[in-house]
Amino acid sequence: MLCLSSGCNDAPDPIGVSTQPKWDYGVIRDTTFYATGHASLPNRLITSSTDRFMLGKYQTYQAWACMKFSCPDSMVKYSATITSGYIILKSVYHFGRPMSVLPFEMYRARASWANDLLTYDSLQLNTIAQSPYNYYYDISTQYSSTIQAGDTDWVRIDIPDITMLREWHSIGTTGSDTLHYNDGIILSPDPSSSDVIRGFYSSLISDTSYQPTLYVNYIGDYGPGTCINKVSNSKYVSTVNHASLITDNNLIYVQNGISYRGLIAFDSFLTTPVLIHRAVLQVTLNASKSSPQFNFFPTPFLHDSLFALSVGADSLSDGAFSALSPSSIDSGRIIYSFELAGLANRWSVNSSARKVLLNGYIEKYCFDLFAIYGEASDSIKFRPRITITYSIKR
Amino acid sequence: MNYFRMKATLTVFIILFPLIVYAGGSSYSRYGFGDILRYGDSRIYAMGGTGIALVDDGSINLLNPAGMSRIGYTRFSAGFEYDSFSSKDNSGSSTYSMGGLQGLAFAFPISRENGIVMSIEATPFSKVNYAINSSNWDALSESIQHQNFYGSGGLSYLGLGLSGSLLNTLHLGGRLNYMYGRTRQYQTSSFDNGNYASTTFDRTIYYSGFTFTFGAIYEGIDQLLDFPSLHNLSLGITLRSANSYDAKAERIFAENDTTNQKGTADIPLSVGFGLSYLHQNRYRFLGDFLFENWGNLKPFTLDPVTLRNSYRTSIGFEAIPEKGADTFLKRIFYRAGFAYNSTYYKINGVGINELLMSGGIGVPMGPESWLNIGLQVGLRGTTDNNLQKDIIVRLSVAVSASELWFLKFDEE
Repeated sequence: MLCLSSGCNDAPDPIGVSTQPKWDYGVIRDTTFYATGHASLPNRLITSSTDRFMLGKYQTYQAWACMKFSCPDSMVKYSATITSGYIILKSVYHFGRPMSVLPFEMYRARASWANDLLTYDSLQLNTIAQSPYNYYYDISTQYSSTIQAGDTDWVRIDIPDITMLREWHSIGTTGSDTLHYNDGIILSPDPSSSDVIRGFYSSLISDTSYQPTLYVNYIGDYGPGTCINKVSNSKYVSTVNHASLITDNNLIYVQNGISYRGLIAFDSFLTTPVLIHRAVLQVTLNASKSSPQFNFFPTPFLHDSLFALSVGADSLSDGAFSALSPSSIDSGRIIYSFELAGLANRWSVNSSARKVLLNGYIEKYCFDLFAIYGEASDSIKFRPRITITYSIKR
Repeated sequence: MNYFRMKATLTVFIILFPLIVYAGGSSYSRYGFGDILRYGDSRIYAMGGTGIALVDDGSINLLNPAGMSRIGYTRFSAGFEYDSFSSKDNSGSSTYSMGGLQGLAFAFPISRENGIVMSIEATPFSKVNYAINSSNWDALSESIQHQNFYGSGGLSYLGLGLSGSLLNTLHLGGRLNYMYGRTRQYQTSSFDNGNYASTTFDRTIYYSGFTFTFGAIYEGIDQLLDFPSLHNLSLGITLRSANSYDAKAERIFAENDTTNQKGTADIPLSVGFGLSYLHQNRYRFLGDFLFENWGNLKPFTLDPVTLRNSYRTSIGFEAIPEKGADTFLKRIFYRAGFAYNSTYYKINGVGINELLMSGGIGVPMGPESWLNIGLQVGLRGTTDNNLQKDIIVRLSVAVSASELWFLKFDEE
């Protein structure tokens, strides 16, 4: 009561500010540390959660698509005769030659490919220890087809396998598909003649009219009809020839759509605990080795931005910190700058974590390639560097 | 309400009330161990903290353990102090308030004939309390940096004392003091430039260690000098040993980077002299001088601030009620004091001094028991050299009671 009645003040105010020891205030300084190592690491790309999937082949890049439709047997009764079926896709993206034809093969999937562990290698190898088929897709059901489209075109893919369509509509909507009647289809590009990777909207696109749609024509008890089903699941797996991608070990490669991520290490850092007010990581793009050289977009990148991610001991992203950087131009060079004060604080207490992972913004949506100057760059101003603004405290 | 319960409730309230009130204080307490407190007892408090030569059965002398040797009944004291600081510097003024436990002490007579009394006490030794805001232009961020500094904590000691008397004129006492506590400074920093992160820094220094206080009071001056009129004059001396306390600094940077650093914090020798004269068994006059050589300590590596030697001079007066006083007002003790304290603070090259006036009353609550109320009003520091001046008001409310207070006497 005494305290309150006197109108006491327990909030900080400037009274006595000049009585305090100078070191309490600290002196703000900045120091730049340069990267001491780097790597370009392949990373498993989880593509089932995106509103886009890819199909095609360009140079040594390949993308295989997987699609599955939910087909309730109530929609095409067993007594009905299926006459044809096709899929309509909405094109949205390309990597490679814009109007190149895209020949591909269609296979009937015979094992679940929904697992996030699915990779290009495992799908291409096409073996899986799972009865009854012991492979992902049935090569005896191969059908060849070709599409050619612009980035906003609709694409039609015919499904000639009437038996497969019949079985899709005969397994019911409940109960498990233990015999793998409906695991969908696998589309693989023809590696000999494809010159483009094309992106299509998936079922996760909010505009339902753009979602992949299966049309099944049939003749039923009351005449012909068409059953329309939206795709229930899709994903893609992709690859690139490592040797053709990593052509210069002095560069850090960040490849979207595969993905490759750049790992940058800083062995030297602040040696004493400090208060970090700001930490800016800067990397410089080598434009001549990046997407602008071979991607036929009006602009060199679909999205000219990078993420910087914190990593754990396994050099994989641990999700603790991330920062996004758009590009800026400095002396004619493209620079990416990341605000990483939180990460620098972590580095100051954990020397083993002084690494940062770079990956492309929306790396599942495109095949942008960023080639970043590494720590051995001839010019020090191109080298990856982190500038720490800090105060020393006693 | 039962009389005993009322007393117990009052005692518990005085002990627990300090836990309720807490706010700000003077920025000078940033230095050293903070504001060094000189409590002594609620009675001594009202006499400007004067009592080195006070030997009496009416209180537990926390300044000089020899002063306990006249205690005839088990006695305890507990007090609460409310502080108000009105501080001003060249930028403005503000008022801060805080409250806290002033001390808790028990004394147990073992041999009245020999003046052997044992005591145990818990007393604050120093207090840190401030909250400062600083806003300065920072060239690197090209923006204003705002920093807040919050200081808190302080040291306390647990004391185990023993007194004894020789020839009924020489009283000796000793007290083992276990000093402990922490001082904490919590800082926040932010910038007007949004690219710069807000940060925190939390530094706590923990202290622990022992000192020993020796005290003596001599009442035989009249015999020694063969000067009977000095019969009621006593001289006192106290010595507190110097020592190095264990200190550990814990620094937390941005709430995730913690460092620990060990060191030692020296506490200096403290020497005090006092005299007390009782006139006609009604009026007591006291004077103290205390010296502590803070300025000669080796630098405290964990927080190397500059301190200086301190000394404190004080005088006190107490009007003792006449025996058999028939009115309530006549049974009240009246006290006053004055102190000049050359504190151990030396800031911006200027020593910080303090002038203090005090007064108070001792209201009888029962046999050998008083509710002591003391008020201290002081001035500290200067606004020269960018320093600050504090107007200090301290109010103490304490119970000093003997075991008789808790006894229930049958009415005749």
